[in-house]
Amino acid sequence: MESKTGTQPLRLLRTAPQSDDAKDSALLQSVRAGDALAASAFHDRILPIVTRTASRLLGYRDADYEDVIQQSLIELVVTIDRFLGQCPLDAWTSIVSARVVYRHLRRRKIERRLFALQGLESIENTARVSSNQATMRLAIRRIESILATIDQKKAWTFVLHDVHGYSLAEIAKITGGSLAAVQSRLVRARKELHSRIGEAQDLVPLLQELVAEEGLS
Amino acid sequence: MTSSDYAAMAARVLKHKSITERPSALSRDRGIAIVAQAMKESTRAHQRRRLWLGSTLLATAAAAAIVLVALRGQSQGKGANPIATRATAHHECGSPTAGCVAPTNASSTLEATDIGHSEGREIMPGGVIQADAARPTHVEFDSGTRIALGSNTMLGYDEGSTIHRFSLSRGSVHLEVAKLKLGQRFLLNTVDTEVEVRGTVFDVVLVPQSKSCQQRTSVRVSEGVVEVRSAHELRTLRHGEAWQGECVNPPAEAALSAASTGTKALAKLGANEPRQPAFEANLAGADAEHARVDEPVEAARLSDLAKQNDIYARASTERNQGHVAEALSLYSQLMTKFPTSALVESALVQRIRILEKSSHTDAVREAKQYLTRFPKGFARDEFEHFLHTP
Repeated sequence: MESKTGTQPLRLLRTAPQSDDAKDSALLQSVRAGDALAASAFHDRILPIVTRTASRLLGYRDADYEDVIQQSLIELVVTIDRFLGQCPLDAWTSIVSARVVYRHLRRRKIERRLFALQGLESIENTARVSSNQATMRLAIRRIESILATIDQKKAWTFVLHDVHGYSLAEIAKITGGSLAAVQSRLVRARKELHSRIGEAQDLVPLLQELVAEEGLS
Repeated sequence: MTSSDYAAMAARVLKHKSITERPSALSRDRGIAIVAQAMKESTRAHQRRRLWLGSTLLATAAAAAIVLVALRGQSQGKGANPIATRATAHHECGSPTAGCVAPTNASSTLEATDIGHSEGREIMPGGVIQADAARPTHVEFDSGTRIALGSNTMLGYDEGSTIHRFSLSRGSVHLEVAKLKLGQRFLLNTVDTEVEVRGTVFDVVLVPQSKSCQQRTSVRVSEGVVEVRSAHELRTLRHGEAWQGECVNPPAEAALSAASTGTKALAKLGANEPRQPAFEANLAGADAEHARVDEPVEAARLSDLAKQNDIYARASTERNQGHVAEALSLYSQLMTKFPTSALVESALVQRIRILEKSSHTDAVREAKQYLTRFPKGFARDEFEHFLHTP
């Protein structure tokens, strides 16, 4: 259809999809402004990450699992002004949640445990079913006992970095140490763990067998 | 095999296990309510923080203002011993029948509210106390010293720190000086006399110029013993006795200015010490009280003391008149010529106070010198505060 001036009117066919970052940015702005309507959107956005982090680090069977999730939600809202958008919202949420778990475990003096080792029960749900689940369970228990003898900060650093994939900078934020200290702890933890596993003669063939069977090498 | 191979294998074993992610038992509504509540609390916390910050800033500003005002008041009143005036009549200055207290032009540190003649009102050094005809004025110190001004008298309150210095430029005063503590001095200057006292009762009258005689000083002692030294005589006055300066034919123009300058005769009034050997003994401090010196030596020291007093008085006059450079020079001259004089400390203090307003660097330097030389000096607090104030 041609207009009177002879020009074709523009027709909006579709809008470009809003990027996740832009959505997150708008969402965070609303939360910072105290917009009550943003609460549900924010909750839905961060809850999966919080749950995943708490499950991995604490274990869903832990008595404080729900409490830690609630604390994480509150911590995320309270500290939202400190999020400068230098990393994705997911990463920031994961770090804050991990920090909450870390603090919670440190406060829990009677039952202090390493968060990587909470989920022995989850071995039963291993995605790739091991040909020898008993071997896997035994190996994990042995590793757990060895890690328990290492300085807890070193052990946490090792687990967070080598098992859960947090970067050194993120671990520094979670544990509240400096980057250099975290790096030093990681190196020492690896050396110490290697030495302890080497001393345990029965564990070495176990690990080698698992790695070979599972194709982990 | 490297040192971390077993650790890497252990990490891979731990990593390989999948973690069961069980959804939180927390209901969605409950989770949203928690987030909403946290948002509300966070907003309140921000508001409280802003309010607290504002209050803190306000309180800090108010405290700073109070401290500044206090320090200002302290610096103005530092070394000054305010005196309370008690006038027999309560009239405004200028009333023909009332005594009054008025500031001199050099009393820049005075404030109008500090000057008055009502009972309980305070005057500060730099003021001039006037008593009009038929209305004598009484001035009282906290220490108990009393000064009664005769009618038509003008008495300047020049200095009020450890040294109390007055200048009588007209009329007569009756003084009852309380016993002074060690280091304190009480001086009264007239046009031709400087009277230093340590606890006695005496009268000093400035006899006006007549056809035959120049203006001169008359001293009458009611209590204690007084030694009067003039250019030509040395006399001891006991209670009830009087002394009057020599009659000198008046010049063409009488010099009435600078009551505190030109000290050629000194009077010493002994404080309940009838047989105190020498005037300079008190001026030089406690040590001199025990000094027994021969007459020629005593005369020489007296001469020095007169010079010291003269220089200090001239410096104070220059300072009061706003001649800063001259005052600084005279104070410096006093310190150089008479380094052991009892007036050195006062001279240095006056120099620093002047330099504070003109040359901060020099003031800091001399204040440090003062604190080193007089660690327990009377102006120690003042200069410590000055040095610690940026």
